[in-house]
Amino acid sequence: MPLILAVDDSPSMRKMVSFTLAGAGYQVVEAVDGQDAYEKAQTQHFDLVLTDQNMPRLDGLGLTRKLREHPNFKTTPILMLTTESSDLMKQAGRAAGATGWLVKPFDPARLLEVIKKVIK
Amino acid sequence: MKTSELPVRAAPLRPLTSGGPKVLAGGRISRVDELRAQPRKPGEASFFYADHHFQYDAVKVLPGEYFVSGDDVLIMTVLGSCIAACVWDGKARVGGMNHFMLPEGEDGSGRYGSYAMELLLNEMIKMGARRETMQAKIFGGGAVMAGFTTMNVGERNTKFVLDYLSTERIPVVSQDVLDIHPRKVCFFPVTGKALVKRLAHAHPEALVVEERKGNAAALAKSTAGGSVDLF
Repeated sequence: MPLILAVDDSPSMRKMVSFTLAGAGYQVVEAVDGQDAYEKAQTQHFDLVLTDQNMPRLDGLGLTRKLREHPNFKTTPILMLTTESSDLMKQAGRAAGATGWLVKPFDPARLLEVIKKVIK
Repeated sequence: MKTSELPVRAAPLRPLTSGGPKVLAGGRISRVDELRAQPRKPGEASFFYADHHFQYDAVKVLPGEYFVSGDDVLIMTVLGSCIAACVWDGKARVGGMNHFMLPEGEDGSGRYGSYAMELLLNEMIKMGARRETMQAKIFGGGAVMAGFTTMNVGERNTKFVLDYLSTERIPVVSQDVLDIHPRKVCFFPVTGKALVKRLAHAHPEALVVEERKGNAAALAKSTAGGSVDLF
């Protein structure tokens, strides 16, 4: 059962993402911002990280950079799920080491399709 | 009388050309031209005008749009069954308004409404607001057309926004929702002051058509919502 770390500061968005992922048989751990996610990643292994960009304390790009420095997360797929849609932000995501960039609002079926494609 | 004896006027009483900056009451200079010249993101309201009644620089939020500001401006919209959420952080002195309608026959996840809410909150957070100190006032959700009531669009919208804000733990400090009236809402983002005027049923059909035209689903498409890039 693949384990997914879902990171978003919006409780509504966490609820929707968790509902979608759990419905497809994934196990989900939620984090309320990048810092919370990074702390959870210290003690647990995840098969995929799905993160928002704009969050307090540590944003999605910051989280991605920090995770990529961690030996456990060198190759873990990290997907950004955000309202940010500019090419500049996408380039920054790529440079930070993200696996993919999804623009909200998301279509649940499409999200699951992408996750299936990138998860090991 | 010789021309040299004519009284000399030191300066014209008002600019002779109409192209100069507009002056609001109290001698404040209107910044409407400046606001118009600034680049805007997709979905951000861009209809700026000088409001005569309030003597304020104002922006009109059309269906599907939002506007966030830390300036002392007036944010205005007109609602039928749509909802406008006015959210502000009095500590950061940043606030904003959206204007959304849940599309009918969708998958029921409320993602278009929640997308409109998220856009608003995200832009506020980017400008320094914090979720913990935000407050909300909500307006709209009226059953403006006879026969429209059976579909309960206004009711569904109202329930959605109340649920959403409760999940986000943002207190709703005031609301004027449901009933049968179209509403005009004026919101001052820095102070959180909101004024609502219930409008007469002049042309409710026109309002409904306008709301349909610009819903958040169309906005999502225009902002590349749902797009996927794999690196």
